[in-house]
Amino acid sequence: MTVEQLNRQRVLHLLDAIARSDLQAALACCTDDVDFLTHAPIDVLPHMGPCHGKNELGEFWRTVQERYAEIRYEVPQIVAEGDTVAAYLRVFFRKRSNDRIIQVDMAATARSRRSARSSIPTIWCSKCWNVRSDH
Amino acid sequence: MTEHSLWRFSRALHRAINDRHFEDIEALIDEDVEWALYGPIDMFPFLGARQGKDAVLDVIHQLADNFQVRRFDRESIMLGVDSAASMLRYSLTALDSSKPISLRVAQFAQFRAGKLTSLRVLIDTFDLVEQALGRAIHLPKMTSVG
Repeated sequence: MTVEQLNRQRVLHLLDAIARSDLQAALACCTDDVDFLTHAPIDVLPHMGPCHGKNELGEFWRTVQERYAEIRYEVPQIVAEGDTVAAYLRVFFRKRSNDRIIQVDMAATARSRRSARSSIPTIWCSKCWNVRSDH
Repeated sequence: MTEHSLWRFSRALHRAINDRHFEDIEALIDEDVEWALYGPIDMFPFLGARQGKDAVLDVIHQLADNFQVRRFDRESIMLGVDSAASMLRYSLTALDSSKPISLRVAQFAQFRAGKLTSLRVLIDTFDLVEQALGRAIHLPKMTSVG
């Protein structure tokens, strides 16, 4: 398996862990000094601010878990080169408060170091926050 | 070593937008190309999904009618065999108002035989809309139940 294939597998493994709410497994994929930066409207979503380190990232993912009962994702495209993997993601969040499904298209780039994610910048398409089903 | 298709496509796209030279880009787009620039299509009608070369060339003409690319910086780039992904920061000028627009985008491209078969571009649209309006958008802050 090439380095690219391996890193691609690692990113998919991380996404799987997040989707099944296994935060321990997700954080085990990250370095202690992981950086997480989101280009998203933090005025509206204050918890989406930058995170540094496993503790802050864990706190962020816990906030996401508290708000959303279910996370599903599709990966229409993933590109890996060396230690960097870019994924185009379509993610579906089911809100705990009212069971609405929110679909978000996003681009995530993960850089790895020593087989763990050290940096995860993402771009969220703000307009893609669509409510897909209303209960 | 052969030049990656992304570089040829990128050069041709910028030449089309800035110099209105469309011949190069026409030759680099597959007839059945799938194209999507995700963003607020009500505000920017050239955004959205398109299928086929003619529809995509029409979008590129509209981009050339509306913007000039002043500069762009690649924050990261990944090249696969027939694919590429990059995060870019664009500095544009809106031609109707001469207003500068700064834009962060993520771009995912796929090629076949050197031609573009798929392009998906995610734009930090909240930022874009604020710049286009020339004022901040005030939305309610999401609470813990939001």
